Amino acid sequence: MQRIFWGIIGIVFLGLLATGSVLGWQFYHKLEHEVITRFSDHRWEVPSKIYAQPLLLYPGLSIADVDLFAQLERLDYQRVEKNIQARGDYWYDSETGEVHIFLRESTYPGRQRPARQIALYLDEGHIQHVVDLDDGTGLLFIETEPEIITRLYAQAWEERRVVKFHEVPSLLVKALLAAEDQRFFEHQGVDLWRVFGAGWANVVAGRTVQGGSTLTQQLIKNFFLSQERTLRRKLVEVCMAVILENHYSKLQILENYLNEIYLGQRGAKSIFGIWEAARFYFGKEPRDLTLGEMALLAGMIKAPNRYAPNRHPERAIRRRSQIVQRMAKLGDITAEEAQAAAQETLGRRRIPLEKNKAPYFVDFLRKELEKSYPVGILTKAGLNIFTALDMRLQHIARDVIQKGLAELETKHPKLQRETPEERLQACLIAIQPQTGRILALVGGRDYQVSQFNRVAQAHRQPGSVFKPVVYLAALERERNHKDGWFLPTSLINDTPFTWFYEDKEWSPRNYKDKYFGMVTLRKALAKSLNAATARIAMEVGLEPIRHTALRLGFTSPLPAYPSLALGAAEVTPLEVAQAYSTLANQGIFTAPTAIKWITNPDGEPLKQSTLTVEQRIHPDDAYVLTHLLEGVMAHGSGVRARGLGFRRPAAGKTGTTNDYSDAWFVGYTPDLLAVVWVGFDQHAPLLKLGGAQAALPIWTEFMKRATAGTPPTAFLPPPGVTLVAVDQETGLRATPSCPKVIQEAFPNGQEPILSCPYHAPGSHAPGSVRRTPVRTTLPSRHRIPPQTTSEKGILLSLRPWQAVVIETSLDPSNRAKPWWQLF
Amino acid sequence: MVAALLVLLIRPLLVWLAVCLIFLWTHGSQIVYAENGPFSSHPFGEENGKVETQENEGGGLASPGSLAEQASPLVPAPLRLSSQERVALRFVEQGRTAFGREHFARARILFERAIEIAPLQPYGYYFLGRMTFDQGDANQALAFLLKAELLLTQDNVDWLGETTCLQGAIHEDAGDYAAARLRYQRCLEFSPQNLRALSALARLPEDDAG
Repeated sequence: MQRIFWGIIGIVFLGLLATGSVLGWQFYHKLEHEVITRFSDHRWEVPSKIYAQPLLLYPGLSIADVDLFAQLERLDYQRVEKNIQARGDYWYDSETGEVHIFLRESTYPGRQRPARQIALYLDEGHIQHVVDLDDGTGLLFIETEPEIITRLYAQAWEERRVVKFHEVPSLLVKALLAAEDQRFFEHQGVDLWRVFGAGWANVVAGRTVQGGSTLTQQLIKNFFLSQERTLRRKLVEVCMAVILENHYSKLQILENYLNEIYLGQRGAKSIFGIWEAARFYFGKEPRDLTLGEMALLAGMIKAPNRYAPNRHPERAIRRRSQIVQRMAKLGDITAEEAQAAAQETLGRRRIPLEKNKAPYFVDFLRKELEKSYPVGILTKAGLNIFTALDMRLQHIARDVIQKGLAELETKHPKLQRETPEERLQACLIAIQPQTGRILALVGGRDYQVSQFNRVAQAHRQPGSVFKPVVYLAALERERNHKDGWFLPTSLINDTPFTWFYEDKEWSPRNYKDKYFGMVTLRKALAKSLNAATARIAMEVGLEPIRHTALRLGFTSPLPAYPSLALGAAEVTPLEVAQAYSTLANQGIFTAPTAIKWITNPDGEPLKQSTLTVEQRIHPDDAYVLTHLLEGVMAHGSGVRARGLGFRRPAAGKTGTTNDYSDAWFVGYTPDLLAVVWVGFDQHAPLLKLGGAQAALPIWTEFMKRATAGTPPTAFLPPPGVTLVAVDQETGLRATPSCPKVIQEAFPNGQEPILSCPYHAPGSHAPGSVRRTPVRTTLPSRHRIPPQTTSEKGILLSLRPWQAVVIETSLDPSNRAKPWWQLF
Repeated sequence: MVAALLVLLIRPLLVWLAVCLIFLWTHGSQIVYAENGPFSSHPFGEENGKVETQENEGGGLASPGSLAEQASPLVPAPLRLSSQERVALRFVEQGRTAFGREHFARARILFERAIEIAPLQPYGYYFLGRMTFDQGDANQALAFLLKAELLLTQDNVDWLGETTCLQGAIHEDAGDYAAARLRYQRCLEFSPQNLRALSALARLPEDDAG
């Protein structure tokens, strides 16, 4: 009986053992599968970084113009008192005018620069020489690493840069092991001695004072498990740690640990990994850390926020001493080294503010990126996105908008509003016309209040900013017809009239109902005369104007109504910038781009935005129009820019809508274009302020500061255009007696031939001409042939509604010439 | 009498020989610009990604062994250039070296960087035009070359000659002989001795439809 009993017990035991073994085996396999799968497939969630352009330093450059020291601080360079020693240090001696910089290595697409020490020798703030301190040679130029505009985060704001094991100095690894797991290379995932030791210490202390987890266990906990403190979780952790050790090498585990470890907070963002922590707390890469700094970093792992050197320096120093002593005890360092490390001064480091420096631009960019990449990739794959954004110009743009709007509100208190959402707004975009690169973009006054990007999203009436499109269409018509109707000196009737279209009427009115009669094309544009412009539009036709607008780069719908000519169709500032950019680029279209390159975390290119160009406007027409727009700046609605101190060759145009709800200014030098819009989101009127009062001052200030330090350049006439000195009044070739002479641009072969007779002595002498405007009684729609010979001379029809008689004693053979050649 | 007869007999032979020589020369160098163009590659300029160079190297295309020395057009002397333009020329130089080694992606980056730094300098556009033509994009090449032409001042006749000559070659390659002839003729206005343009004009069929 007893034998049967023990037999049953034995069978049950064996059954339980077998079942337990099977279940245990299955559990083990399940864990093993989980560990291997997740560990092997583990991808660090690294936010993508968006970079601005690198700063180029070369002889002749004023360091004040490029805000060199501000730029260095934004790049997290630390000013040191003595010699530069580590990457990221710089030193400046104002007496000798020497700047020494220890540049970090830079991996910009297409070119890589190793870390190097350079010196800038200054003379009155200008760089005289750039010298490589490593070999003493002079350099033509040097580039800093590009500045990070922002990072694209997922929901968890985690800062991390993944490092390879060999990139981490061995002393740092030793410090880490001394602090966290001295027998790391001896145990198999679990350190029993340490568990017992920790248990005993906790019992003696009566509370938890020491942990028994190895690095492997900590890694497992961070990778797979929750932070709950239960026996079950602990057992799973132990099992997984053993499995991990069985399948992966110690170095692989350590490398993962170095990248996974949490090391504090930077505002809302968590610092993960040894590289990111070294940069954040000490402004250095791990390889540049001193022994004391390494020890401190290793000591922080236990409680990162408690021992953070920037917040609790005393605690941090005490913790550092503990680690240093432990390292000395383990034989990792000598006693002298330990003593030196323990006495290292904990430098008061300036932690740079980490915030999005161009939020509207980043939103714009992100929308572009999301066309090609899922959000998950952008926020986790650690892409490097290089843009053309010029941080200096971006800061200027933000600054001029803030100051410009504040000034407007101070001068005109009625523009002030109660709530931030209703406040006066402005936006600015700056483009390099030749490349289409967006150099600066500010979409509004305050991103925190409104994320609406007015540059790309606000469809507003452009007002007179659209008029140059009409004039360009007229110049293109002239190119085809060569009848002299639309040359810069051609006369346009600026009087009230009614345009009949589709059984409707439209009567354009001038500003303050002031009309100028017969005016040149140049004056009509310079003074932004509505009636004259509308007449040109009527002559040219709305379809050609629309076609010209589309070729320039407008993409919004442009209804073919007469009011289109005066800027009634709604467009975005980005479109305006694009269109004027084509003009500035001699008629060559280049699409505006925010992205230059995208590379993966290893620097391999994924996407490159290459420069493509397309001739859309004849360069002669683009130049003639630019020349006319230079007149706007010289003596037209943009003249205030000159008064405000912007003296460079520039072309521009103001814009104001009928109800004063939009104020624009767009202007360009040969290599920089900027558009400024000012208005209320609610379309409230800007009192009686137009583009010249509201937007132009902001544009002017931006351009003055943006172009400072660069040599002024003039617009270069293409070979098909001839500049002729003409009398401003008559448009004929100027004589020495003409009081107002201007250089006028004409397509070759259409230059005036005759000299101005008005101001010549004895203007009625033989050979001279007298031009007599004659008002005809012909109906407005009746067209006089361009040239008719009358008894008095040659009857010239400049417009259907107006004629000019030239009395001439010229050789009769001249009468066979086209009339415009007589001028 | 005998001598005159000999001359009469030999003259067509000499003319024929000259035509053959010109034909061989032009077909060996005309269309395939990148291989044997006026700016064939030379050892100046590093390919190791370093963008810096020593100042005593002149910092531009006019330095010894550089583009200016071997090419018929001479770029403005460095003294006439601003610092920014000199830096841009350095990028052009490096881009050209990369182009010569058929590292097209890198060359493009460098040419574009040169344009970004000095957007009113024509040389980056010129080489982008050459490169895109080599890569088979004639329209883009013509647009780049037009831009280069617009930026070249009228006294820069050598470069204008090169640019217009290359435009002629592109048109010729596309079979647009009328346009090619116009560009070659334009080239001769700037550079009357340009042998490529001269030979091309001799070579092009008279009939535009051809």
